[in-house]
Amino acid sequence: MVPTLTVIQTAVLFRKLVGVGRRWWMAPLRVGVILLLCLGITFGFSDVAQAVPKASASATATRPAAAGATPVRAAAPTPALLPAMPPDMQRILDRGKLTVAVLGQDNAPFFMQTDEQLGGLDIQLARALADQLGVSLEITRSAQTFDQVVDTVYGQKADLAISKISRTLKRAQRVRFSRPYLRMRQGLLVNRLQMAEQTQGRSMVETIRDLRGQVGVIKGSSYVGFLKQKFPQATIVEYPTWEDIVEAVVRGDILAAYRDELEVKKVVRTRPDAALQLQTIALTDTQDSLAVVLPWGSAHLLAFVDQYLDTLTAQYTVDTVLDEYAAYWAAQSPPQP
Amino acid sequence: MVPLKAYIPRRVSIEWLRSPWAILISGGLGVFLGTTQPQVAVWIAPFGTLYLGLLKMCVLPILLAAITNSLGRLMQSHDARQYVQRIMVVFPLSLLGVSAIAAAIAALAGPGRNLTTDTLQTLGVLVNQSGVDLEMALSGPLPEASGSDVGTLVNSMVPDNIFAALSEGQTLKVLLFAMIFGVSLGLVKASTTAALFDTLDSLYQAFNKVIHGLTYLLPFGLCSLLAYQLSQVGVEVLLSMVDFVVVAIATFALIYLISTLIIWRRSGVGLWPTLLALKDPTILSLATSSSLACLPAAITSLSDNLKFNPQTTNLVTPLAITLCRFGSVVYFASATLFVVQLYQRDLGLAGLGVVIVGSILAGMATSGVTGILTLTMLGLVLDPLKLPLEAVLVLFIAIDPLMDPFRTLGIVHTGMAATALVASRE
Repeated sequence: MVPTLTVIQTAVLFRKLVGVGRRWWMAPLRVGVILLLCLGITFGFSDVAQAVPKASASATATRPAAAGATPVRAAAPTPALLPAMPPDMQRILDRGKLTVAVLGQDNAPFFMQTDEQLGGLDIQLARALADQLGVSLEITRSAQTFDQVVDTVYGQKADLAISKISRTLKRAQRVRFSRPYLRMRQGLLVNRLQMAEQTQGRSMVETIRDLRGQVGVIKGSSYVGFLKQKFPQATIVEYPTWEDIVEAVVRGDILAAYRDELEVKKVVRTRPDAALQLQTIALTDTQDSLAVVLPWGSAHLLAFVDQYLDTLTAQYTVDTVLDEYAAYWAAQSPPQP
Repeated sequence: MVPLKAYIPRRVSIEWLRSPWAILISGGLGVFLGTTQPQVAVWIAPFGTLYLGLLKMCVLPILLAAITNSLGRLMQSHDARQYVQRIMVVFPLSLLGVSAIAAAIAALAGPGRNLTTDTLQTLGVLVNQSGVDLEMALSGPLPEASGSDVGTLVNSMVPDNIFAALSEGQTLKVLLFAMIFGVSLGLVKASTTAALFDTLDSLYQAFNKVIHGLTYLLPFGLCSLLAYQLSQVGVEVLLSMVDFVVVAIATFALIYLISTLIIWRRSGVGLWPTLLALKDPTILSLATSSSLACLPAAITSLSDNLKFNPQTTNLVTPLAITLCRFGSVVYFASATLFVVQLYQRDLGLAGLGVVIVGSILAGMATSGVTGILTLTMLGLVLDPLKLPLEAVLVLFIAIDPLMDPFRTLGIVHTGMAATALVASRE
C-alpha cells in the first residue's frame, strides 16, 4: 500500500510542478525555463573560475623578460652591477676586515693578553664572526670605560663591540644589542664574619633579603641603581675600582660587594687564601646578560650576529667559563698580592 | 663402632684470634693497606661493613633489655635515689671538666693561629671545590631551614611511636622509652613482673653471647675498617690542618689517660688487668667509629672483667655513652677554638665560658644524629660567638675520617670512666 501511495503522490507533485492538466502544452516550456536557469548559474561560476588562470597567464607573460634579465646581470663581471647588499654588510666586505671595539684594560676571562696575543671569550667570539664573514679581524682598544666602548660603536668607529658589555635599557636607546651570549645573574661577595654578626639566628637567605650594612659598588656603575632598588636598607659605599671593593670586603671594612656573579666568583677562584673569609651569593631572580653591541643602523649585521649566536652549540654559563679559564688563573695567581 | 666425634679434629682452637697480638698485627696491616694500597682497602671494605652491621644488630636489644632490667630492679630495691644523686653530680661535673681541659689545651697550643698564605690557599681551594656558593632568590617563599638547635634535640628524645623509633634505630627515643618502661615496671608490685625480668635477662644474655662470638672476628673487621677509613683521608688537607689534628689528638690522649686512671683507681684491680679489660672497647671504638656498636663491649668490660656492680653498669654505661658524648664535647671545644683563632677573633674569659658551655650543649645534641649532621652541631657553639660555620665545616668534614675514631674513643672511654665513678664495686 505504501509504495503505491508514494508513486501516486509523486505523480501528483510532478503534475502540480509542470502543470500537467488543463494546459499540458505549457509543460515543455516550464522545463525549458528551469534548464536555462541552471545553465546560466553554471556558466556564471565557471566564468569566475576561468578568470583566475587568465590573470596568472597574463602575469607569466611578463615573467620571461625578467627571468631573462637576471642571468645577464649575474653574469656581468663588474661588481657595480651586483644586487645591492645591505649597506652595513657591504661596508665590511669592501674593507675586508671587521673592526671590533674592546675595552682598553684587560678583563679576564673576556679579553686579556696571553702569550703575546689577545685571548679570551670575547676575542674568540670576534674571531669566529670575522671568519664567518670571510674577512680579517681588527681590534681597537682606545676606549677606557665600558660606556666609551658603547660610544665608539655609536660613532661608527667600529662595526661592533664585544667587550663584556651588559644589556641595559639606557644603552639600548642609542645602540642595538644582539641576543645575549652569556646570561649571568647578579652576585654578592659577602664577608662571612660580618655576615655572622648580622644573622642573629635568622637564615642566610632571610638576612640577605633584608640586607643592612655597608655594600660596595663601583662608582657610577649600573649597580648603584640596582642596589637602591634591590636592597633599599643597605648603605651604599662607592669605590673607584673593583679591586678596592674586594680589598675592603676581605678586610671586613664593608659587609658585601655587589656586581655580576662572574666577577664575584672570580674573586674566590683567584684568591683562594681569602676563600675562608668570603661567601659568594648568586641572586637567581636577577639578570645581567652580556651581548654584542652594534650601531643602530646595522640591522643586517645584527641579524647575522644573532644567527651566528643561535648556531653556537655550546651555550656558555658562568661556571663553564670559569672552568675553561681555570688554568689561566692558576698561572696568574702567584703574582697577585 | 667409632663415635662420630673422633673424626672431628679435637682441638681447633681459635682462641689465638682474641690475643692482643692478633689485634696488633691486623691493626698494623690495616694501617699499611689504608695508607699505601687504597684500592685493596676499598676492596676489603665490605667485610668491615658486615662486621659493623653484626655489632650494631645487637645494640638495640641490649640497650632495651639492659636499661629496662637494671632500672626496674633498681626501683624494686629502693636504692635508686642514691644512684640518681650520683649521676646528677658526676655527669655534669665530668662534662664541664673535659670541656674545660679541651678548651684550655686548644687556647694554649693555638691551632689555626698565624697560618701561612700557602696553608690558607690550600684550605681555600678545598672550600671552593665543595661549592659553598649560595644561590638564592630575592623574592618568593623562604626555603625550609634545616634546624640544628636545641629544639631538634628535644624532638629527637620523645618517641610518639616506640616501634617506629626501634625500626629507624633512633637511639635516644629508645633510651627514653626503656627508662620510662623500666621505672614503671619496677613500680608494679605484682609477682608476675619477675617473669618479664627473667625474659629481659635472657634476651640480654643471648645477645651478649653474640657479641662475645663476634670478638673472634675482630682482627678481620679491624683490618678492613682501619684500612678503609685511612684510605678516605685527604693527605693535602691533613697537612694543612696538621696543627689542629695534632692538638685534638693530644687532647683526646690526655683525656684517655685521665679516664684510664679513674677506672683503675675505682676498680681496685692492678693496672695491667685494667688495661687488658679496657682493650676491647678501645680497639672497637677506634675501628668502628660507632659509639653504639661499642656499648655492649663497654658494659662487658666494666661488669665482667673489672667487677663493677652489673646492675649499675648496665644502666649507667648506656646513659653516659648516649647522652654525655664526652668525645664530641672535647672535639667541639677544640674545633671552636681553632675557628676562633683562624678568624683572629679575640676571645675574653666570657667568650671562653661560652665555648665551654656551648661545646657541652653541642656535644650532647649529637646524641640524636649521625654522620655529617654531627659536625653541623658545631653551629650551636659558633652562633653565639658570631662566627661563620659553612666554610670551616667543609674543612672539618674533610678530616673527619681521621678524627671520628678518636672522637668515638673519647665518647666510649670517658663514658666508661664516668660509669666507674657512679658504680660501686661488687
